[in-house]
Parts: sequence; C-alpha cells; structure tokens
Amino acid sequence: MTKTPDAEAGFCRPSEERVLEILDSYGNDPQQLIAALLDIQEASGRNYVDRRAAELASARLKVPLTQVYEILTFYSMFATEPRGRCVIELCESAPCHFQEAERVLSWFENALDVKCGETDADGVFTLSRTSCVGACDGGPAARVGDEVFVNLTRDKVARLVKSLREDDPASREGL
Amino acid sequence: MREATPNTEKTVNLTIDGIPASVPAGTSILEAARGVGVVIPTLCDREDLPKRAVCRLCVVECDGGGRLKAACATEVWEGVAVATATPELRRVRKSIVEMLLADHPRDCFVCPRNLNCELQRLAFELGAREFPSYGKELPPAPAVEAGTIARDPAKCVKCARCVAVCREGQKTGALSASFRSASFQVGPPYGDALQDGACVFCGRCASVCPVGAITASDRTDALEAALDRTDAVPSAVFADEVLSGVEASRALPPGSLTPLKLSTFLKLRGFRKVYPRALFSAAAAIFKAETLVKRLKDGSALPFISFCSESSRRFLEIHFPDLLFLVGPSGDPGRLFSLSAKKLLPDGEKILAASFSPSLSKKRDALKDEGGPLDFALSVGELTNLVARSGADLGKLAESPYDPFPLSAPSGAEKDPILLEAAGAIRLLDARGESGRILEEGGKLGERVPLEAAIGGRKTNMLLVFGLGAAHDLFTEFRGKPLPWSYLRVVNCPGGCVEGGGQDPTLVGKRLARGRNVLKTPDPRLAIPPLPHEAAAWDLFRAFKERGGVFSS
Amino acid sequence: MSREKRLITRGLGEARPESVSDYEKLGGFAALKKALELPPEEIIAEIKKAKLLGRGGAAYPAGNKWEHLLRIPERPKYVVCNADEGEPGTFKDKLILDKLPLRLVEGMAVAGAVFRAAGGYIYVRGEYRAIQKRFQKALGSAREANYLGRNILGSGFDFDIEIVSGAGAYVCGENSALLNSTEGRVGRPRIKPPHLAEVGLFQKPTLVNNVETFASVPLVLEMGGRAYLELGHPESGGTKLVCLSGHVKRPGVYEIPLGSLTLRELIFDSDFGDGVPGGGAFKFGHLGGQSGPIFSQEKLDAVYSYADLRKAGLSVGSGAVVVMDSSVSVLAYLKKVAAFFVHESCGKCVPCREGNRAVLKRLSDLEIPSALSRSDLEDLANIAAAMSRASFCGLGQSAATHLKTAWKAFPAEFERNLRENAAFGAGAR
Repeated sequence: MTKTPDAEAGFCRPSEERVLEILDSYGNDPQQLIAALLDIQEASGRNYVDRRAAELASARLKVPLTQVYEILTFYSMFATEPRGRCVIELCESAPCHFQEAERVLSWFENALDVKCGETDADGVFTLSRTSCVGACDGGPAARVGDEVFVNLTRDKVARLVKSLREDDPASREGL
Repeated sequence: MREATPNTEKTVNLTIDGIPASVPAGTSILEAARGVGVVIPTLCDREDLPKRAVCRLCVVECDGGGRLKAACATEVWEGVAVATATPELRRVRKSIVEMLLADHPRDCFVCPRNLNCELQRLAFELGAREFPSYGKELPPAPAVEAGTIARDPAKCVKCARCVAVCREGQKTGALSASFRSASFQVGPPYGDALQDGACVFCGRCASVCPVGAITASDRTDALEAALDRTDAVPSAVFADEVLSGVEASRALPPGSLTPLKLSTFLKLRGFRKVYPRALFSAAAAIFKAETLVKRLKDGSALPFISFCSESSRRFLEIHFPDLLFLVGPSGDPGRLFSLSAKKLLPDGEKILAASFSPSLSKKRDALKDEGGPLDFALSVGELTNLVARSGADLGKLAESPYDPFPLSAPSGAEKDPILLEAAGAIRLLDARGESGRILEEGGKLGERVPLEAAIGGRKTNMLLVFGLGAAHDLFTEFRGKPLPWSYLRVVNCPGGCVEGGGQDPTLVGKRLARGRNVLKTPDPRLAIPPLPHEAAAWDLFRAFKERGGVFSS
Repeated sequence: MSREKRLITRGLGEARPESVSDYEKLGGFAALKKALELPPEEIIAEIKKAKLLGRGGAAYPAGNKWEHLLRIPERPKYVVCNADEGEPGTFKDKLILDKLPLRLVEGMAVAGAVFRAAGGYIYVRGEYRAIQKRFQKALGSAREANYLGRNILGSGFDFDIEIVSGAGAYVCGENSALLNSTEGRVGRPRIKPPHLAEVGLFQKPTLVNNVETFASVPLVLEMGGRAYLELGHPESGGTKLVCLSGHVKRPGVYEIPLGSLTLRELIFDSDFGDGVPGGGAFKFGHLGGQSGPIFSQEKLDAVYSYADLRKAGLSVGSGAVVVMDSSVSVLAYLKKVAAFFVHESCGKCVPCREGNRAVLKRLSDLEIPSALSRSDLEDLANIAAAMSRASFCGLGQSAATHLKTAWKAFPAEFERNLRENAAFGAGAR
C-alpha cells in the first residue's frame, strides 16, 4: 500500500472529538465495538482506523488495545493505514473471476492510473480486491463503500470513476 | 484458569480402544484415555490453560462413525466406544504434524529447544516424513526483546498458548492473536516492542510455548567469556529452585543434585566464589522489613505490595494505577548480592556478579538497571548450557561449602528485634512464593496464602498471591475497598518462582494437574526455612547501610 | 408456464419492501398472529411436519432445532438471524433483506413468540451496509404497526429486532463465530459442545437460523405443515431459492419447489438458466457455494432436492448453482476456490490454516508438467482428508470438498502432469 503524506503526519483522522462522539452514540458499549469502528473508519475520510482512534476506542470502551487490534486485523473491511477517499474493491471470487473480472480490473487500472492494491498519489482512489459481495448474477461486481456496481462495461467504469472523483452520487444512480 | 472439575458424584463407563474405563462425569476423553494408558497426542492442550482444541491432533472417533471429536474438549458420556488410533486417525495426525513442519525452520541443532521441543517429539512419534514447503511468506526475523525474551516468529506453530496464558492466565494482556489464515500471528499489537505495551516479562509465554518461538534470552556465550577473564572475580549465587531444572535436562535423578554439588560445579567451571543466596535473601528481607515497619508506624500506604520483580510494576500501571503508590521494593537477593559484594568486599571493583534463578523478569530488571551492579541475571537455560558444554557429570561431584562472605568487623549495633520479626515473616512468605504452591485441605492448590505474623507484639495479616491472574482477581475483588494486609507479596508465576519464566519449560505446569510437587517430591531443601543466617544477615544489613549503600529494590 | 413457484418471493417488484400494508395484502403477519395465540408446541409441530430444512447450507431440520431450544428452561433466550451470506454464488438472502424484509421480520417475530425470546438480532454482512440501512425502514414500519416492540398486538409479548453489522469475514457465517462477532469480538468459532441452544449469544440459549429459513416460516404456518411438505419433496418440504450465476444466459434467483426440477432443467430451461451464453458448452457446475461439490455433465440429471442430490454425491448447500463453460480450466477454477479459503480461514486450527494453503500450492504445481509425483498427490489426498475430518469448524471441514469432487469428476486434470505420466524425455502434453 503506497503511503500518502499525511499518514506520516500522525494525524488522527477523524478528530478526537468526532471519535468520542461516535463512541458515545453507541453508548460506549463494548459489544458495539465493530459498528463503532466501521463508523470511525467512514468518518476518517480515508477509509481506515487510525491508531490513535483505536486507542481512544480501547480506553473508552474498556476493551484492551490488543483486542481492538485483533478486530482491525481480523475483519477484511478494516484498514489500519490510510487508503483513498474511495476504495474500489473488485470481486475476485470464482463466479465473478470467470466472467472476465480481470478485464474489468484492467479498465479500472487504466481509468485510475493505479495498479491493483495501490492508492493514487492524490489519495482519492484505492483499487483492491474483495471476496464475493453477493452480486454474482451481475458479475463482475465492484464495491465502493456502501454501493455495489454490476454488469460493468468499459463505459460504465469510466462514468463510475468520473462520478466518484467528482463526488457526485446523483450521477451514479442506475449505474 | 481451568482446573479439572470432574463431578465425583456420577461415574461414567466407557471404552477406549476396547479398554473399559470408569471415570467421574465431566472428565474429558483425553484424561479418561490417559487413565487407562492410552496417550492421545496433543499440541495446543495444556493442563494449566483453558482448552482451545485448535491443533486437532487429539481427534478421535466415537461409536464408529460421525464427526471426529477433539478428545481434549469432549467430555465422556455413558457407553461411548472411543477409537483413538484407527488407520484413518493415524493418517490424519501424520498429515497434521506434516502440515506444521512444512514451513518450519530446520535449524534444530542451534535452536534453544533442541531435544526439548514438543514439535520434534510429535514429528518423531507420528512418523512424519514428507513436509515440503507450501510457500510461506517470509516471517519477521528473530529478535531479542529487551534482552530478556527471544522471539522467533518463523518457528511459531500458532497454537496461541502464549496469548491464552497472557490474557486469560496472567490477565496481563500484552499479546494479540491477530490477522487470519496463514497471516495469523501472535505478538504485541501494531508490531510494537513488548516493552512498549503491557508486558511485564514474566515469561509465562516462554514457559508454555511448545517450540522455540518464544524462549528466555541466552547469554551463555557472554558468561563463558566472562569466566575466562583473568582480571575479574566472577562470583555467583543461585536459587535452590534451579536445581530441578538442571536435573531434568541432564537426566539426573530428582533430588540428587544438591546445592553444594552445584556449588562445586560452578567453581570448577570458573566462578571464583559461590556465596549462599540465603544470606542475601535474609538480608533483603531485613531491608524490606524497614519499609514495612515504617509504613506500619505511619499507618500510611498499606499494604506494602511487593512483587517478585520491579518489572511487574507495569502490571499495576496498566490495570490498577490507583494502587501504584503502595508498591515497595521487590527485594531481589541477587541484586543485593551484587550491590553488597561490590561495595563491601576488598576486591569489590573486580567482581563480576552473577545470579542464577528460575525467573525471567529478574533478567529484565537487571538490564533495565543500566550499568547496574548485577552483571549476569541468568536463568535455568543458561545454567544447563554451562553444564552441558562442560560435559561435567554432576552426579559424581563432591560437595563443597559456600564461600564465606567476609565483612569488616560488625558495627556492634544492637539487633532490632522488631525489624527481625518483620523480616522473618517476610522471608517466610517470600520463600513460600519461591518454592511454589502446595495442596491445601480439600485438594485445592492455594492461590492466596495468608500468614498471620506478630510484629512488635501486634498481630498483622500478610498475604502471598501466586500469579498475576490471581492478583488481578484479588485487586478487582477489592476495588474501592481497603486491602486488609500489611504486606502483600505477589509472585508473577502461578506455580511460584520454581515454575518461573526462566525455568525449563517442560517442568512448568505439571504440578498443577497432579496437585503435588512433581519437581521435587519430597524435597527437603524446599522446606520453608526460618530466617537463616540471622546474625550474618544483620551484619550485612548494617554494614551495607553504614557504607552508604542503598537497596531500594 | 414457468415452473417457478413464487411463494416466498411473491410480491417481489410490486410490494414496497418497507410497506406493512402491502405485505399484509399478500397475507403478511397472519402467521405472527397465529404464533401469538397458539401454544409454541403447535407451531413447532407444523414446522416439523413441513420438514423445513435449514436454508443456510447445513440443512439441519428447523423443527428439531426449535424443539430442542423450547425444552431448555434457561432464560433469557435470543433469536438470531444469520444474514452473513458470504458464500460466493449466493445472493438470495440479499434479495430477501432488500426486497422482502418484512417476511424475515415476521419469521423472526414468530420465533420470538414461540420462545418468548428477549430479543432478536440480524447479523448482516458488512458488505450489505446499504441494505442494512434500508432494512431499518422496514423495522420502523413493523414497529409502527405494533408487529414489533412492546406488547405486540396486545399479547403482552415484547420483542424487537436489532441489526448487527459484520465487517468482512466469511467465517462469520459459521453460527458460533457469528455470535462471537455479534458480541463485539473477533469472529472465530467456538468449541462445541456446549451447543448454541444451551450457550449462545451472551452465553444464553439462542436460536440461529438463516434468512431464508426464517422467511419460510410464515409460509409454513399459512399453508400448514403438511401442505408445505407436499409442495416439495417427501424428505424436505417447500420451495428453495436457487441462485444461478456464472456462464448462464439468465442468472438470478429462482424459487422452485424442492424435487421438481433436475440440474439440467435449472441450467438449460428457458424459464431458468437458458443455457450457456455465446454458444459455449457446459463443462462443470459448482453447487452450494465454494464449500460445495463440483459436478460434471454426468450428473446433470440429478433432481434438485436435498435427498436426491445427496444420493448423487452432491448437495444443495446454500442453493448456489455456479455454471462454468469449456473455456474454464478446472485447475484454474479450483485455484480460485482454494485462494478464497486461504483468504477466509480464521487461522486458528491447523488443518484449515495450513491445509488450504497447501491445497492452493499443490493446485498450482499440478499445472506444471512433472512438478508433482504420484506420492505428492497421495499427500494432497491425505491433507484434504485431514481438513474434512479434523478441522475445527464447518469452514475447514468443507474447504476441501471442491477439490475432492472435482478430482472424482475430472481425474485426468490431476493426472496429466504427474511426473510418472510424463512422456519420456519431454514435458507432458
């Protein structure tokens, strides 16, 4: 994973106040740790959970840091290093793979100018792979955050990338 | 902590490989099998840890079919016919151990656990043959953490015993079992160094590790170089608890290696002086008694909490910071020996002080004490290395007496009876902690050992706690309430110092299961002594103080 | 006329997912009313008569599971829905969650009523986050209509449902791992016994069933157990949501009565898969997800029911049917499956953690002439056997099924590059 400049800055994304706010919204309940961490990750704007945020969650919820770390490394959706604002995950499971997922991957790589597994220099996009997302009847599928895109053509890929880059959800409707 | 809880009310009858067995309800198939002489192979199972059933070596067939069951985690039931060694089971076990060996390092010759390794034993016993590599990612290189614990992740078999003992046993929680699948790994979170987290270097992880992935650090080479020096006076003390470890690895009959024989060996090997550790234990107790008596007078800061090592303070820092102000000196005799020898003996500046004990945390203490007086804090492994490399047959050695510890003439100061009373009680309790847990009435092993002492005519309660997990439970129980003791001694290891992190791992944990002192049955040298060398200890105490010595730990 | 039988999926596309009134018009919540009035034993008796088998993949008789939990005296009890649906090729639960949520709500509420449970949880995989948010609307409507919440329909029974999110771990589809994850911990499976009916969520007696199973329950009660049974197969009543994907012209979810179609009909009939696109030829199919069996054209005439498929050496599993045409190399496909398991293994037990990566490596080796000898192949068979027989949980136990079944169906693939079969002096082929 290419490291982007502010990963080194020791910046706590999101702010400590926001992290505590999120933890409070779950009643500081240790059972809700996973949901809280997912929200914290989303609020980071860079799709990851900062160490400092993990430490705050650990202290507030009284869950040892060793166990918070286990959660962040066990579950595929979490990252402990900053990724792009948009993480595009292409399904790599067998049904999608054998419906030419590799070709779709190359379309994304070209449109984004990154190789699979990397983040672009502006920190906008990370391109990676994921296990089945349950869209096998429209494969190959790509997941971006909460949204899943199916029946991807080269044109759709281009329009999707543009819409994400411009942060314009409306233009993605029906894609 | 799991101790066997069979229901002695109800009996279950079953067969194991056709052999009839009759055991209390609640017994595991593994235990029932052992009882009739059928030993089912295991790797992740340990009697002193919660069962995890992850190695899958102990799987057995019940009633001729169906899913295989893990014998360690399955309780017997009435009439079951267990098969432990069908052709299929033998193939399955062989496959499993071969899978473990597939990308395991092949450097047994130089591994600290060579000839003492559970994986080696299993490979041999299960007839492992082919174990090609399946292309593992390069694991992190071996490293020694804080000079105390050596970790070699390439050797890890991912049994996660270490995480279990640290989290559920010691309740210290320094290790994570992180990631998934082949990336599954154990270690501090975020790849931190052990010393930056909750680790107190108790070494339980090293004791329970079945292979050479976690071991006590080894300074035998440096020690031998020191012994070769002609300009120094290498001097040693050793705790009697190391004797069993040496016996085990040198195949000597238990109880045959007496302290004075070991003393002979050390002299032969190059130590110029071997002193009786008991003298320094006693003197250390007097120093601690000073702290205790002062606190009793003030009525403040009670109880005096004394851990077996300074590194254990971290335990309170992390888990019970509001109790930190109660911590006082641990009173390591090895450290007192080094301080007093160098200060009081004529050739003090030439002395290289070495202390052998079954402790791992004391290694850490000595190293943290940068430029400190104890040159070598050594554990059982290094002692057995020394013996092995010298080829000595310890059984044939004659005994030779300890060297006297000559002090300048005693100051003539009167003995302080109150101080000595307190010291006697402290020493009694500390010695119990060193020699280990014993059976109480009703067959339970005592985790908390109370002692009622009289100091200056007043009765006072003291407590010894075996293991950080038990200490965690105690402090949790008394959260927000006063702790009703004047002196509270906590030894890191649940079996006592004799089963410390620096002891031979194969000797650790056995006594808990069988409820008796397997290490030295019956071993008079571990009978709790009264404050020995009282006069000499007092003189040492006075002399050290008069020369401006400070023994705060 | 399509031989689909849209019972669970009736109203799909017409009824608004979150609308209680739309659902009621389809007969919704009638079953819940019954469950609130009738004794729990009667409800369970219907489910047993129906021979409703768990639809998640394990196919355990739901009636027996419910009966076992009913007998346990300890309280509180919990009802948990497994909506982790991580099995590749499976997307039926997604359909129910997204488009037919009230069916699931009703099914869980019925279970809640039967056990007078303290609460219900739906563990939804993290990848369905958008669906989770939409599902909340359905929960809101159900509460407003007093089908959830306090004093449901004046019965004195309180029951509500909470959604819990996964975070990307196929192993959390294993019920005990799912409960650990629900409790906020890593999702590694638990030692059993004790079983989840005795020690489940928060260590309390718990019912865990799949989305489709819960969604089938109202149907069972509406039709009656006997009618539900007759609808399907003598050993397993009712309909199954089958997920067709891969190289078929019409991928999607189809609701079919169990025992009414063969695999051939499912894949080739114009009402269903309509055959392989682009003029391709069927080569093999993969049933029940990655953890299920692979079959060649020899088995195309097997009837799609739990019993018939089992007799054919196959299984229903999750209901996934993935079709692959002749452009796909068997070994390449198996490697993908093995890679999936390597990624998803939780890592705690030796046979699964080490076995899966051994399988992946060996599959790659098999593509190279003379890389492996016959004894290597024997070792591979032993590893697969150790995985199936000794793994800690269902993931590891079924992770070698694809290998074993493909080996039987396409033995040549495994033989052609063996050293012993190499042409003398040259590589094979």
